[in-house]
Amino acid sequence: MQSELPWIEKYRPTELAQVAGQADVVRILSSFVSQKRMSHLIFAGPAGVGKTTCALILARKILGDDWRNNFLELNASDERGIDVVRTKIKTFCRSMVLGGSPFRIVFLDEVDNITSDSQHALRREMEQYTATSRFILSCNYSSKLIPPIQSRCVILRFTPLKREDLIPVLRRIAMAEGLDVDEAALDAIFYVSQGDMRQATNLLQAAHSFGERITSEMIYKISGEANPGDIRHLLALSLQGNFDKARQQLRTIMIEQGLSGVDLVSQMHREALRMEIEREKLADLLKLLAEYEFRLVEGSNDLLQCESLVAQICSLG
Amino acid sequence: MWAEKHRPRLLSEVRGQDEAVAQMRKWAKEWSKGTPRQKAILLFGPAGTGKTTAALALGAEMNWDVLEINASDKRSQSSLEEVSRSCRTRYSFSGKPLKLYVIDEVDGMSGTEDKGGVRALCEMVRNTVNPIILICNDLYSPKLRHLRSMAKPIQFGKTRKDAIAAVLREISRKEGVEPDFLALNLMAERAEGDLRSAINDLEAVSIDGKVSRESVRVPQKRKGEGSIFRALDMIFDGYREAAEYARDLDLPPEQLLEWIAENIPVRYADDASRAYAYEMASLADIQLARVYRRMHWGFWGYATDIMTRGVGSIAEAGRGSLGPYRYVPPRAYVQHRARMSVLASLAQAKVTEGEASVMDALRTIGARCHMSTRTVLSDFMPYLKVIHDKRPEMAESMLRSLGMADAEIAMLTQRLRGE
Repeated sequence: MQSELPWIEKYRPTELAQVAGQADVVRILSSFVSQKRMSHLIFAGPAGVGKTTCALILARKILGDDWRNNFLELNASDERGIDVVRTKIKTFCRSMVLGGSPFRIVFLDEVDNITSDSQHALRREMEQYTATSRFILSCNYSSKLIPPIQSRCVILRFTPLKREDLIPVLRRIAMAEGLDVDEAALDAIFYVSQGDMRQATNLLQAAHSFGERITSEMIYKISGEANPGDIRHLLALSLQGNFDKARQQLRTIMIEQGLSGVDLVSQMHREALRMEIEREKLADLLKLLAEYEFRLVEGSNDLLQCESLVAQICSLG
Repeated sequence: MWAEKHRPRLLSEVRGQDEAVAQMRKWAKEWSKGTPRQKAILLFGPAGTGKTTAALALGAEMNWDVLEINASDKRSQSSLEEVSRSCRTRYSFSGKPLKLYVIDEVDGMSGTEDKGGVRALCEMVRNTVNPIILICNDLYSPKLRHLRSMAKPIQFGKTRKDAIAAVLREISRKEGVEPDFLALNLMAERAEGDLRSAINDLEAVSIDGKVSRESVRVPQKRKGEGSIFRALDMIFDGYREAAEYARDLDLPPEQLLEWIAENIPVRYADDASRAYAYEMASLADIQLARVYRRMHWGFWGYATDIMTRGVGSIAEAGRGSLGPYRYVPPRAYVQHRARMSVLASLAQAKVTEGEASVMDALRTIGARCHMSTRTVLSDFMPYLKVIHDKRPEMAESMLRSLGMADAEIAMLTQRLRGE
């Protein structure tokens, strides 16, 4: 049987020009590539917007043919202890640059997950080995890094992908894989993935297992997100105080889709802001949503908590 | 007696014992090829699960003569001797090829009345040229010490609740009783695997073509066990004793809470009371979660009090129950949990890190696709599961392309199936 790589790998860009969105970041990175030099970098931004992809492209382009030997990729949320910084990274930075690469690159992913002790150890190594090594630190929020590290790096912010960045990529993949994806399905993928290319690509591949024709229903079903229309309906019923119907709707959504409570409430949050709700009521609603998302994290019975939320919304009056 | 009237005549009508029935058939088929090595089988299992019914039906299905000997017959050595003699020959008046000897309630043989009976049975099994089915409840009764090794044991498990409920529905239909699903399910539940007692209960509470739900609640199976319906009445009516009564129900607090939450709308219809009662249920749920999170059992007491007295505090003081109310069993919560469980169990692997093999597999995927194991779990596995559900070969091929060994793939796909 033909082997089927996950599409997130199969279609991962290998040229900066292929990276979707991120025009500002790409411009700077391109100049690094053309000059074969770079400073320490912080890639900050949400998941699935191209941070790892850009790091891999930089490594390949700047380090040249020997890039694999001179590139160390560590995932800080798996290896976050101070000893990793002290041993693995140190050993790597100390040893000679191999082949024709100008220096070595250490790529630390999800670096906002390492302890502040490790961050301090890291800070030392970043200055000690500048002759031989560059660091690329990727994180969701650069503010979670200690200031000394921030000051040693150029901070590049990656933004969530816009509709016009994401959809052409999906179309290209669909074409290459022989899929028939209609406009509504593309919209659904964009809605669910919220500009996260990894999620969008995974969704498309998962939908592929259903067949060649991809519909928006499939996307919602797979994503474990409810159809936004269903969520709005739930909110509307609750705001009208129609508890019985609202509970029925809630159960249909949660049981049929296997939705977790937190996913449901955060989606209610997203939809509430797009609906026409008078502002006092909206304020009360937001307070309730926040409170119940907290309770869902604290509690144990998702469906029960969500039903209580609906009962509370019904009595907002 | 409905239990007798609706006793299945065909083996295929015996409910919820497919495995045992298949073994019996296999054994019976061997007889058509001559005398098999195992000349007797020993059916064992709790009362009311269909052992005797299956034995008699097997005889009919094979077109054998059947002789049934149960505890109502005297089974001493001397009285069994005659039977023992007859089973050594194949001569039959009816012209049927074989005669099946069904010996019921073997573990109930009396030590004094049926003196020497067990020894006679052993003799019988040793010498017979006809099939013998022995039936007992307790396989490990000392009386069966010798017989156990001479007959092939076949187990009849407790009949499952849904199988019992299905039979009850069928019988009520045949008897022209309006099937009240809630009541039938409750009866099936109470029967605790005993199908016959469930049918007896059904007959007892069917009055004028209707199952009276009130009377279903009446028979109490176990001592000290109250009724959840009574508890709900007390809780929603705001009785002081509600917490105490609920605690004695022998129902885990999580389940009690689900019964209560499910039925809040049944009792409190106005927005404010309903919201208040749910608020209490929500807080009780949080207390329950804290019990495990903080390993502090003290929270349990608060949880039960909040879900009973707290919920009931909205009840109008002094107003008694106007019931009966149509309380509903809390199925939705169970359904939701079942729907969620596979991904939750994958997530669990991360939390406990107990399962090294799962973690290794996640790490392999992560290394190849540039993700942390946490991201693999949250951003990759859910989609892989979708693909695996639809097209297992596609998921396997993906894992193979990531450099996974067959054993690893097998382990991971097993997890994806939720096994």
